[in-house]
Amino acid sequence: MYLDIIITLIKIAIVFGFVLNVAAILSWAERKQSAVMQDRIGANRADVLGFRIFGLFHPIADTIKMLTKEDWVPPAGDAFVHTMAPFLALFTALVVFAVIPFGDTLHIAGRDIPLQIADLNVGILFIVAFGGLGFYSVVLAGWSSENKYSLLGSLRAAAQLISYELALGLSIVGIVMVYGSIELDDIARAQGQYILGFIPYWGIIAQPLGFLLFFTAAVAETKRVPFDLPESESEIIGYFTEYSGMKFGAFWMGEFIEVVAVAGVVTALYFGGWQIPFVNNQGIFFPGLFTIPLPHVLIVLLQVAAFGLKVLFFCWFMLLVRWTLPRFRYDQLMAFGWKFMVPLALLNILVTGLFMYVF
Amino acid sequence: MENLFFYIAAMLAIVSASSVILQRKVMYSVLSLIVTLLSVAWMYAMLSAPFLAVVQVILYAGAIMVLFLFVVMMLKYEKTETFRFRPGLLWCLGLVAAIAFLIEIVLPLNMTESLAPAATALAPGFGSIKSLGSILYTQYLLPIELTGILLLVAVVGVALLSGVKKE
Repeated sequence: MYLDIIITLIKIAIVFGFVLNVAAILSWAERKQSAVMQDRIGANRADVLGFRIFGLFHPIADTIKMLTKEDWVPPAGDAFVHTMAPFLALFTALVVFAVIPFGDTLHIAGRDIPLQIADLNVGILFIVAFGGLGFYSVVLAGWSSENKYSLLGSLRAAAQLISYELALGLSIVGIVMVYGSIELDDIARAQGQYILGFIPYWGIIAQPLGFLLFFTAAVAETKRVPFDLPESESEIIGYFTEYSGMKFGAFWMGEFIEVVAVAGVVTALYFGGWQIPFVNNQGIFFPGLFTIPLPHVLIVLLQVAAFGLKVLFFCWFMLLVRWTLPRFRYDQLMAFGWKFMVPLALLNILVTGLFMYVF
Repeated sequence: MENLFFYIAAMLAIVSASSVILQRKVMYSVLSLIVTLLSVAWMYAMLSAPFLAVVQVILYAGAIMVLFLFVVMMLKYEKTETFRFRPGLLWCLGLVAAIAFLIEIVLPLNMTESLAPAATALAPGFGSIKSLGSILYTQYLLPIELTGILLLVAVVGVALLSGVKKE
């Protein structure tokens, strides 16, 4: 009983430690990567006693800066809602990790420890449900600021989030059909199969169109370039105009946590989760040819590391997208969401159904 | 342990539900209603109906309340605070409704037999999406197909109303 609670707490500490640290480093990596892509030097100035380590102290410097800034609440606005909105943004981004499996079941000292914080049997729907609640932080932030520009920004954000949530939900249906489960650890386990004996049956191979649709819609849900109309930090000004100090920092942090969350969900659904190709629970193997046995704990550790690396890869990829593409115009954004993504997602479901009926 | 969680959820639901009608600011009423819906979803999750809980969060807390929120956002704040429609009439109607509700609550308490069904062991997989889906698509096929058609008509109606411009 108490041991179970302690194990769960350790899992929570590991997952949130990973997520929050990666999110903090991303705030530096985003600037550094943009600098590299634009042939600049980038954020490398923060130093502790003369040590710079490529500027990795920047997240700490930023946090200290934001914590010590004046925390200003618009006097005409609503102080309670204004304070609550950034916390909601953080909460909805973080809670998604509760259902993402980061490793196979660990058998240790006679216990089976599933490497997933909460094994809910509604799996993906939990992510959709609580990811969708992120909508409220955006809308409440704009409304409570009592500022017309903030309100317009939050309306733009709301329209975008609702539109792309539809494509997001529909693209998940394909993956649920292929693997026959909506539990994320079942999906991760099912991705350990092989087609023709040697091609890993990952989501991206079973659902290539579904992957593109899901990834696009998920990037739109994080409100980043090319879907950054709600923020448009360079000119239009969005829903968090009236925020300062660490409350603004919370929105900022929430965005990077969302990036890690999207990377985690994409990995779990489409990139094999914690699966490593040609490594199963016995060891390294090639179907039908040979098997090199490995100790169980080592395999699980390798799988957890593989999951972490895949997540980092997708974080990097999303930064790459952010500094490569220009922004959509508002009408293009809406037309793309409703007239291109949604019909394609429906087509994806239809084709998946036909394939499953035929084979 | 489970009882404790149930009482927390029930308390949260009751407090936030009364807060919906007691708040002076419309926005706070809407936010309280969201909390009510979420705590009811919490109870569904504890009553081995996880799918219902998640659908409650997606549809009610996530989609329907969005409409409420939009309306409140667009209204002018001061007016919504002071506007009152026929206070005397509302008092009378409210009193009648409250008495009727009170009778509804008190009556079952006096009954000798309990209204709740006796506790039985749940079938394996009860409340899971698979069991729910197989019931919905076999036993209740006609109602669910009709609901689907109704929703489709609504969607087409929305597209027609918003998409076609009169030149």
